[in-house]
Amino acid sequence: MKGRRRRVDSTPADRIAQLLDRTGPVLHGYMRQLEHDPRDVEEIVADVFMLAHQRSDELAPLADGQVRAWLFRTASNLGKNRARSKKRYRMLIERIMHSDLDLDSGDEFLAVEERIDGAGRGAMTAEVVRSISEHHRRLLIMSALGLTGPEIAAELGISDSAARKRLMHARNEFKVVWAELLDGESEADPGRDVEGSRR
Amino acid sequence: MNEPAERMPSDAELSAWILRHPEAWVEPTADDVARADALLRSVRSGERLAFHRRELRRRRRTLAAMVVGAVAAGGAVGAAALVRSGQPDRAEQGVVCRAAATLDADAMVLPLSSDPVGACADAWASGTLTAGRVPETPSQTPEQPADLTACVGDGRAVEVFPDGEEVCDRLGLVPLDPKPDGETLLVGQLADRIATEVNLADCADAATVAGEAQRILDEVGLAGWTVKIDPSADGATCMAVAIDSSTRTLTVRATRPR
Repeated sequence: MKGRRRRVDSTPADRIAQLLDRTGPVLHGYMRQLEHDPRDVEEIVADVFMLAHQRSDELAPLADGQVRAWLFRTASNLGKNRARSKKRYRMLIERIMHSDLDLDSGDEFLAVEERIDGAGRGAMTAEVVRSISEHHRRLLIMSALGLTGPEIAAELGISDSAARKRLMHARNEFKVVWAELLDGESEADPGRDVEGSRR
Repeated sequence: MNEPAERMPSDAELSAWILRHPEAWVEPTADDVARADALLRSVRSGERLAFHRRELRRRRRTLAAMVVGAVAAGGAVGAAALVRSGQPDRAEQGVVCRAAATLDADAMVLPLSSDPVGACADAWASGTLTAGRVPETPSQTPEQPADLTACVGDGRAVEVFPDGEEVCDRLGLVPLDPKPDGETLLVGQLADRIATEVNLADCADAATVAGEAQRILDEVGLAGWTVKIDPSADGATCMAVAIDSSTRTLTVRATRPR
């Protein structure tokens, strides 16, 4: 958990500003993959930044992972709603600005931290996620963002059953690449732990 | 409770981890870095929030015009009631600060407040209302009006003019009650929520829209108000809600599909 909590010497606005500096380009890159119109990418990313900036007091006490999850989920929701109705888009932003933050529970976050990052599996997980095909990575991300099977199907323009099947293939590829990497690590240096060997 | 590194994350753990580590999703390009930087600058300068507020006001002004138009077009009885009651001192929309004592002067719109004259005075003092006007000499500062007067406009917004109290009569408006009561502010909230949550939402049938309007009324806490369904709603697929504070009525009427 080291380095994941708010530093006492920075203001909430500073902390969120730093996090946005680090995460902003990734958010822009991700939304660029999702949205067809570059103007929509600009609008959505700017509005997510604005919402985070406006609510920095409430976001600052949270762990980085929770804030990042909120940023990307908010961007994803804005993208979906913008596609449905541009007329209501500004109203939605206004609602997000003034309603309760839609956050993951802190307990859930800590549990994931402990089970994956804390257990030395964070770097390995990151490498596998980066190594699988872009198409499968996108499916896993959509699933992580909470999109249902029919929503994934609509996004990709395929049937519900095809979406479920592709998600299953994506998870299988993750497992296969994980096993391959683990085998490779064991052969290279059987005495070293997995995360240590990848730093 | 550390686990062996070999154990693969479960599907649920993987989803949770992915959600918290978007840095693993995509490798940003130099253009992503530059664009994100530019967008962050626009947020930190306040430019983005100002843009958002302008767009929101534009949407609400369009909507206010639609709502008032719907009331006025609601038939002779509705129109007469509106004229007779004159909506003398009750505002249902925001505060419009005018840059001159005419109805077509440049204006900025602020949220409905208990002190509209004070809110506009702040806008004048900060120079926001006179932004863009170039002083004739470098030492000249934008002129502050000696008097500001609030009237209730046709669109049921509070209009604040840089002039004395006779301005409301001269422009055919009614002076605002200098001490707006709690109900006036609640009516402002009601108008805001009806605009946002009903009139800009997807089309729905009259019963659904009436239910939504009643829910908002209950949540805002206005007593003595009723929700009516206008006969025009029969068989129509898209509704809007008109607000009439003189009769304390929300009327569900047919409108064009959005």
